[in-house]
Amino acid sequence: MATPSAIQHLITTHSPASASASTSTIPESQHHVNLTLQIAHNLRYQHSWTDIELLQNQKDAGLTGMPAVAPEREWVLPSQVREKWTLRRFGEVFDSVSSVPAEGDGDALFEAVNGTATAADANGVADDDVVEGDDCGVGDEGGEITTTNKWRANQPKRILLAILDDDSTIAYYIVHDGLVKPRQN
Amino acid sequence: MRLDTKIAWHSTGTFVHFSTTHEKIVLQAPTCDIESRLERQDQSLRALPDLDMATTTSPPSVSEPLPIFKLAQKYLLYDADTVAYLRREHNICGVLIGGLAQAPQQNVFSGLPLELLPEEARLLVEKRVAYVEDDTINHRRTFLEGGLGPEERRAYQAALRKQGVAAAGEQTRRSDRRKEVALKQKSENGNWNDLPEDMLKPSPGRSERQEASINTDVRPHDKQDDEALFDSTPSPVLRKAHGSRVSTSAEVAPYAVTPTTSYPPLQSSMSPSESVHVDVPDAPQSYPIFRYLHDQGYFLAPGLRFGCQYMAYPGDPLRFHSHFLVNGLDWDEEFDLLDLVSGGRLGTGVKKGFLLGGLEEVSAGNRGQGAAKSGDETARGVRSFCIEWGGM
Repeated sequence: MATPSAIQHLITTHSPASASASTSTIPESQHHVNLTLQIAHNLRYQHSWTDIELLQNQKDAGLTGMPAVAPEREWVLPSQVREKWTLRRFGEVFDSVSSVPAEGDGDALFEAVNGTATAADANGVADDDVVEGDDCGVGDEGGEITTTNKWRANQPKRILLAILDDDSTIAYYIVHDGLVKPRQN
Repeated sequence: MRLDTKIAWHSTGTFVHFSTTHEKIVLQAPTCDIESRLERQDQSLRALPDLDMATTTSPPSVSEPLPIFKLAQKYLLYDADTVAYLRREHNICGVLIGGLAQAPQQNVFSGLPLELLPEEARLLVEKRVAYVEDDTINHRRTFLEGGLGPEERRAYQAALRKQGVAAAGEQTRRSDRRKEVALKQKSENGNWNDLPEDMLKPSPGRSERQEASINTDVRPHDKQDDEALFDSTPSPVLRKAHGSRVSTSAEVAPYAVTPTTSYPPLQSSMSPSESVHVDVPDAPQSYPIFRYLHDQGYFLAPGLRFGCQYMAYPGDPLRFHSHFLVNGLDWDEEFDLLDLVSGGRLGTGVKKGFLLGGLEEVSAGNRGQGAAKSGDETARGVRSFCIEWGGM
């Protein structure tokens, strides 16, 4: 039998069925857990995010696993492209998160910060041809020490919405809670 | 294009007027002296020569509530003063939809009348800035059944002609002045030998002609029908060829003045107080977000160009780029993530935020922070989300 892929390994080790993960913090729906894990994997190995943590949304279990990243932590909201969304769902998501994600709220998914010996690396199938994430994003990549942006607390909340398609493309969009003027670039 | 240019005229004397039906609107059998009602128009005419020079005359007073004319399900404004006032004081732009008489074969630049979105009309009515008048009913009731008496009509025509003469005279005076200045400049640094001797004098005939045309009303008021109002005066060239009817008017024809409103000479039939709240315009479901953004000081324009419902400008659209592409939704209306992707991607591509918003329906005892933030009574409950591309 062939060795499972890195993402398959990640999913099997973190799914509720697996004994290795603490079941209490994992969303109930298997679909959402797998979705979240796939996006976390993409963030970690395609976009080089670090310190990704898996969270559980109290209100709507299974909806939002939320990895966050250094040096500026971001909420990440996983979704699948065929999901239907409403303004109400956005509103509830924003109501359930704080303005700045705190460190250590959830279960660390990948062991080392920029490590070579993460759980997935140990199985290392896809790691050698990992594409480095382009740096034009939310400015949150790299292994710097976590810094809290002092402007962030006064701004409306923001969330990184990850949208997964069937061909495993993931598109990332930033959603702000309120009127936020576009960036001047 | 000046928004506050109230009267349009043609130097050629040929005159195309648009939408006669639009013009004869709020009408009532007049009771007072017509000259006094024309006073306002005269004043605005006198202010006209100043427009080209940068001297600012004090803005004309517009009294609230002002009428919005509803015609064929459209909300229209005909008065340039009103249009400028709403834009200046109430951040309402509307869309100019009238053809320009001087450039009738293009539609890049349009003039009066101004069409308001139903949202804009509703907002103005709700804020008691304006009220809605039904054009058709008013036209029938006041113009077709009442209208001007023959005496008043003649007086009005005479007054219009007087304005036209004055405008033509002013125009001639100005072009003389320009010519004089240009020639003086040329003579100061140019070669004197090239200039004819009488070059610096104003052309002969002109000054007399002006006085003649201003002092005496040169054309006989023989036409009493409506046509005379919109009489297309033959161009000076034509007239010369025909031999002039009246010798003094041989070279300066009065400009044909086009009043864009029918008051003066006519007056609004309804007093504003009785028509307020008679008709609050229906607006689409996206009205809450429209009103919310307007209350935040944004100017809103139709969003067809960017595939959205509104574009939100942080100031006057003539001075600013828009910040947001706005779509209004019901709080529980489902939308596709693909729409969000395309909107977010387009918005980021044109350096704008893609904004979704709607009236928040809060489940009992669970009011969101976002809604509680806005203290304004009317804005409360509207919540919006901005989407931009994550760049990864």
